[in-house]
Amino acid sequence: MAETLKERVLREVSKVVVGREQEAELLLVCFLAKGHVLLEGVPGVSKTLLAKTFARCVNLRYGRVQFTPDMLPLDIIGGFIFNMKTREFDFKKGPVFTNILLADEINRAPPKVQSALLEAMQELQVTVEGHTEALPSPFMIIATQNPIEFQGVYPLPEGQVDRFMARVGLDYPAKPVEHTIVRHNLSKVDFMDAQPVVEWSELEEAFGEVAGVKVSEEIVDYLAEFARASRLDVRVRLGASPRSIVHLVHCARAYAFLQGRDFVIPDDIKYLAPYVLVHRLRLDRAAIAKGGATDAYEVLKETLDKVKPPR
Amino acid sequence: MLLDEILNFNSLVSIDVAIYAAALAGYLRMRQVAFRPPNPEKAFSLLEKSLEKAFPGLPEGFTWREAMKKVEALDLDVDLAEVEKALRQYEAWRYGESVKPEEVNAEVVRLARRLSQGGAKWQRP
Repeated sequence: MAETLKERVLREVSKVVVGREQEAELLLVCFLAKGHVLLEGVPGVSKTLLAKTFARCVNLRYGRVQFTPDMLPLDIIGGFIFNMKTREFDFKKGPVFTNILLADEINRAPPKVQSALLEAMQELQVTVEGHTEALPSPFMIIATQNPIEFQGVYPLPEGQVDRFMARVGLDYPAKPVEHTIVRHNLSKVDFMDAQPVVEWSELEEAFGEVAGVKVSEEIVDYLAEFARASRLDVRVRLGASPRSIVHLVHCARAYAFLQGRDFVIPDDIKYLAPYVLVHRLRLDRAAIAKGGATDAYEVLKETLDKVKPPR
Repeated sequence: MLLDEILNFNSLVSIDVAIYAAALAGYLRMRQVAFRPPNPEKAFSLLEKSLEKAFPGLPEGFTWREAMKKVEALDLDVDLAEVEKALRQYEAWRYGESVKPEEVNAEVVRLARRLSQGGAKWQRP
């Protein structure tokens, strides 16, 4: 069943978005792991289209918020509006009350709006003036941001970034893929061309199966050792947080499930670690200045190569 | 007198040949025994050592799959599909609490042997 679910979603996504199978699979992994994803890339690499198409394929309620500098938290989570008929304040739900929320250009909104999402992302609920409202389940935020913009943007603080289960970078496509994209776009392409291919009952079953994927004691030890190694590296100022390691193991379970296994292997961890951890690592400025490290990905890869997995 | 010396010399040569033959047979037997692991766990442990020997550049944190990719590039006369099958069973037991495989896969042992012998001379023509 797992293969079929994955194959169906990837097939539908690729009808609209060309050459993004790996990214679509990572979205599916995070979705099944009940995490949020940050899609990062320069403008025009199909971040928004990918998110929209994915949401349509999994057949869940989908909402989109275009983040802007003049936004208020109310615009996202909702707030109390005076009801003239009942003479009472009613809670009006914001666009966050959906299953999949596309937070487009999240770094364009000021910090107070970004912070409004923290509770939603972590606790799957929002609180306004002491009133707490649970979000629908499943709930996933797919946020996009352009990493090279400096004007009119508010970089996400560490606490917010840490709540994203994975960051998926979208690079420019290779020449053959670009060729296909151009050919594909000669006729009108609409995300509605992708059809919903998953039933809710199937998703529920998949969530249950992911929760049943085994993680051996040795794999847990491996993760703990790896987390420790990432923090002890002198080039790293901020290593892998416990939350990030929890995210990594959940991702690994979902990934193992999609590969048709009911257990996690070290390769799952090594494959997913860059997506789950690189955006959380902060390198030491002095180490960068000395030329010790320039790239969090390289540092992470070296750490992964040093820690012996169970074999 | 001369005949005695010739006979003695010949018998010494025979004894020498016998000793060297026995030593060689012992050495070969020892190598065979070393490559006859009693269970799949030992077989994979042997394969791990052979991989480390064959690919000195492999990092400490290598995984089976990463190493197998390097093995594939060597194009050895080993049935890698069989090795893959055995590896899956081993992983299912090792990480997935599945039933422990009982039989040692001959191709895993063969691969370990080929790698420990340098690998290159066992490449397919």
